[in-house]
Amino acid sequence: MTSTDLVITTLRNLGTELELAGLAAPTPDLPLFGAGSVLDSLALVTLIADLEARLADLHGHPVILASESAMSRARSPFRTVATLAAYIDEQAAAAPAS
Amino acid sequence: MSEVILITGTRKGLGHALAEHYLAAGWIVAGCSRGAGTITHERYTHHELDIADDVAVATMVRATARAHGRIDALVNNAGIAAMNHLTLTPSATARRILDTNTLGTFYCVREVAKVMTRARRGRIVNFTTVATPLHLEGEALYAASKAAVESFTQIAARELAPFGITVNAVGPTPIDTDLIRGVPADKLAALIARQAIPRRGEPRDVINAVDFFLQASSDFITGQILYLGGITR
Repeated sequence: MTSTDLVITTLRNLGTELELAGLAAPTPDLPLFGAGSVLDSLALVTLIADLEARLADLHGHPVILASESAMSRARSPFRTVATLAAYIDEQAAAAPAS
Repeated sequence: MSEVILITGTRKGLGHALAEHYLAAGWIVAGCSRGAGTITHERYTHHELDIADDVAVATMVRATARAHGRIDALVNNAGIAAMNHLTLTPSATARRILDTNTLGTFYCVREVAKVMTRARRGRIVNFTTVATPLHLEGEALYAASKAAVESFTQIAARELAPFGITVNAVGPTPIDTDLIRGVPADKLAALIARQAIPRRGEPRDVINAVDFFLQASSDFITGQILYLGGITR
């Protein structure tokens, strides 16, 4: 499963659970926060927690997506499905996050 | 189904008493300490780690969530103190106090909150101390580290309330544990004399306060700092 698939699957599950129709068929350019996003701040926090849990199971070590490097960037990696997936790939290539 | 509680600092003292209490009450208990565990029970799992190690904390929390599918409560009991005049406090001691008491509490709350937000429910109890409101001489950094825990507790309560998670703190008076081993008897007596109820605290006093915060009907109580012995701000 690619990171894009992982984010899309997680979003779809979240959409079902929170009854958010806008998450029925997420696409790579779907905005995850700000204008045009169907996620409110609580849903975004839940999405990141879900992804971290799935990635930890996948890699066998804890993964912290809200890392120093993510938070200090001028352009947040959490903007869209595609940018988040790219960031996950980048994290996976690095050592276990702290 | 048994409820799952994570308690830090369970090797001895108050943490040990809390773990024994919740095991007796039927909970599944995950505990941790820097040393080996001292509790043997079919519903107890021990993790040997330093709570100031964020990766180790995340690993413990994930392991607990994976094993039981949930974490219902977190009790951040682990803490260290080092009584000394501020001019005589080594930098390494200062860092260790802040790392364990303040950052350790933060790491545990951050990781457990990720599990609890999923469940849309949870109870978190942090530990502060009466040394903070009493501005106790000789405990400058310890009291400051717990003042930070109090502030963190109150803001975490607001950030986590939308997820059905309550965050409170209990501030025990001196209890016979390793934490106060280095405190001179006259200093302890003077401290206890400032309490409304001037007696030494016992583990049951703290357990009672934690029980109160954990009970299901306490879902409207969050961001509160509960000092024992009648100490107030």
